[in-house]
Amino acid sequence: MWKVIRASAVGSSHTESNIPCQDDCYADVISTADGIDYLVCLVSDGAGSAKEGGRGANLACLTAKQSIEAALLNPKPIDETVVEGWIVDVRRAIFKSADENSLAARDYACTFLGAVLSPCASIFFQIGDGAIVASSGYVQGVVFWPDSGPYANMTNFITEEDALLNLHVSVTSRRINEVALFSDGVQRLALSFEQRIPHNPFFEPMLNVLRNQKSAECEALDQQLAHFLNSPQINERTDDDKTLILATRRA
Amino acid sequence: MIDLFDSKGQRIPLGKKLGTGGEGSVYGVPVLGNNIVAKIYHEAVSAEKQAKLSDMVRGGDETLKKIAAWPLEILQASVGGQIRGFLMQKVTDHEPIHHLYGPSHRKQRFPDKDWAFLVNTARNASAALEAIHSHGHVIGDINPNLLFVAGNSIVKLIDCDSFQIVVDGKHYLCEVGVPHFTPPELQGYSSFRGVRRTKNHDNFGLALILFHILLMGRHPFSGVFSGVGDMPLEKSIAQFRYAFGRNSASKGMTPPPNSVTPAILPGEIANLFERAFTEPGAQQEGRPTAREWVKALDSLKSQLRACGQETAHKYFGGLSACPWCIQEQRSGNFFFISLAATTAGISSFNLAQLWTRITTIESPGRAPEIGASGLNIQPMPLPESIKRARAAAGVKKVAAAGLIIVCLASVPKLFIFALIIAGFLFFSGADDSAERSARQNAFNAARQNLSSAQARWNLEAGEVKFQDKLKELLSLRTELEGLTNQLAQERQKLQQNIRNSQLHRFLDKFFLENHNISGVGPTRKVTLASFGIETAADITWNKVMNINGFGQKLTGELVDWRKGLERRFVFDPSKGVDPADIAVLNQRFAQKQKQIEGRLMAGPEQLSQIRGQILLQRTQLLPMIRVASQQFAQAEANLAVMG
Repeated sequence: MWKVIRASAVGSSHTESNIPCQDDCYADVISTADGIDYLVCLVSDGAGSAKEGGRGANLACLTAKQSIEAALLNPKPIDETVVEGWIVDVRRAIFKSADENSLAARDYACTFLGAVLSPCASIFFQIGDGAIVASSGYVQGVVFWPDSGPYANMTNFITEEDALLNLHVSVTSRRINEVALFSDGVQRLALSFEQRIPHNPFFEPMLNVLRNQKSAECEALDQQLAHFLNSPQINERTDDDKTLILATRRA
Repeated sequence: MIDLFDSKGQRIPLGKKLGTGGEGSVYGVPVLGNNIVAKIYHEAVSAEKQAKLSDMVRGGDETLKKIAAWPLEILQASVGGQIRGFLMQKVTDHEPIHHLYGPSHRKQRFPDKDWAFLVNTARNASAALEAIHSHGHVIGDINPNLLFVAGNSIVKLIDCDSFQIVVDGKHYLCEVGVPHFTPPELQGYSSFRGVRRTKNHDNFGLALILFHILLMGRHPFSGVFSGVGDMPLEKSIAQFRYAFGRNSASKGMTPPPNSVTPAILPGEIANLFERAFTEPGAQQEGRPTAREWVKALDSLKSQLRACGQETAHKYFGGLSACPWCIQEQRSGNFFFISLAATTAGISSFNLAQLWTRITTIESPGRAPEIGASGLNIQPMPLPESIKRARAAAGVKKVAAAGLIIVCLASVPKLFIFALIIAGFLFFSGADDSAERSARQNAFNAARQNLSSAQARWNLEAGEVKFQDKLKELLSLRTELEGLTNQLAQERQKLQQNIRNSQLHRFLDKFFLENHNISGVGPTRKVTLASFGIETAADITWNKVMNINGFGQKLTGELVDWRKGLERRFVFDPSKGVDPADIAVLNQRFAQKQKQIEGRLMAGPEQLSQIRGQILLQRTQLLPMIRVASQQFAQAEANLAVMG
């Protein structure tokens, strides 16, 4: 049984200039008719430089969620090509909206990362920065190390011409018991760039709380996570929008 | 498979299925040999169509059978029963015409074919239609999938059962049409059921096909639209927006960037296109007929010229320069590849020998100095009036002196008056200012004249032109010697770009027309092709976005199709540089080399000519400079004598 918490918080630099949060996320369990539960987590970070980055992030999560749901209900096995199809669906939705609003696709620029976890298999994908940390319960690692360095202000977006080439996909038959997805704003706190590993002291306390929580009480934790992401101790380390999804099925 | 029978009741067993189309499938008929195939309809054939097929078989003659896959015999479900299909000639070793006119296709399917071949094919396509028309038939649905071309440029028509046929006064209509090959006056028809097509309609389709063949696969109605909103191809046709026409600007159209235009054709042929694609053509019999095209293209065939630089280039001899060379230089598009030129460096050219010939041509040297020395110059004498005045002035001066002496000696009191009178006498002198200024002007003019004569002398009779040519030849020599180095560098680069070129070749195998891309139907594919986008390799975001009617949604579909393929591409570092890439590079350099060699080889001749010209100028200009020198010396002396 998956227990999930997720929260997005507007960055301090955005609060000052009154820009709403440009991050968006989705995390929920989708159950298919044959009774299998799939945890679907999506994080998208709208580019601060893009006029409609937040809308891009929103469209990305919304569209991908629908595509993934459709794919899960379809008996066809999910492979890399299917994942590419989800990305193409997101791009279609963004391009269509851009055409309709006389905007350029780059106005919707956003990064995109996600995970789909079944009892015995896992799919991860990512375009641009942010990261996914996955753990089997004993082994923990970063699925795709971020392309850019900790401070470099360059990243890839799902709206770019080369999006499909910049797309990382990993389909494994490994069972994943804990997963964290986060945007670039959290990345600096959650990863140890020197050792290229997850920064355990960041995750462990939160995961510990979650593991011991009853599923019904997880919703309240979303609020707490949001508070935490907005806390001064976080804000003095990053002024960017922050999104974090944490999930565990460890008892 | 059920048994089929021909009209004589003979049983015709079918062989392997060779292909399937919308209407029916084509089967081999082994008992009748390799050249006969059977088309069998998927569905029951209407009574009208059955009558049409029977009449076509009856009306087929040798001409029709030669140019078209004409129905040769009907096939019936039972002896004398329902017609299910027909026998026809198999069109073997032919390719659909767009595999010839699309530049990317051509490089793969017809690599050795040049523009002369395209002109021939255009002519043969016209001749095929002329034959159909002379029988009273009309194709109705002319489109690139209907014409097949062989390696000898012979064109064959297929899908004859859809033609509009008239046999014994009975008309069987053509009920299909391809929108982007449909004439303006028939655009917007949702169905061609009951529509009688005319030869003039066919002549529109023919002109479209010929335009594609002669001008590198461009659709004449697909251009850059400067107006507001979308200009889809069908709308552009309906509104006669011929993008390459003389008045295209007034219709808000310009040809796509880097396209080859009718300017490379004889004016006569450009006029035929003009007539075919503009409003007057839509009038009764307004468009050029197949016969007119045959005539015009035959005339073009006899005026073709081979490019001096590149054997793969053939062009209309009325042009001052090879349009394919210009196009290659301007856009980097190689429309024709020369198989002969792939072995660079083989030529009879010998630089050392040639250079010796060049250096043995002696410079005419500096122009000899031509002065007035040795000339016997007599100044022009002063006019009598001035001489007299000057003599009188002498007397007056003596008188003035005398007056003062006399006055001082006799009446010193009146000295002051004497001084005034003497002064008047002394200074009244002789007035020669008019003569002086005339001589001064003459002198100035002569000086001016001499200096321009001298300048011309130095230029025409001096060695400047000779030395300039020599310098030019020297720099060509340096360029030629550097070419080998440059080629080596480019090959090095090729080695470095090996991944890119492998990727390019990989993507170039994916033709848009063979793939389903969401939102990109046949018409859009034609538009893309006319903007030079035939394969996945040609797709970039900016290239597609710049085409009218392609928004971000469609552009995204195309880009993602390409990038999806690109994801599948696996680089093989062991493969090395593709020989075809080396061939193109060699060709480019061979072309450059030939060009420089050609100019160098003309060097000795040109140098001798320049030398001869200079020496000739020396004798021809000598009188002129002599006269000028003499005139100057004379004017100088004339002025000097004024004192």
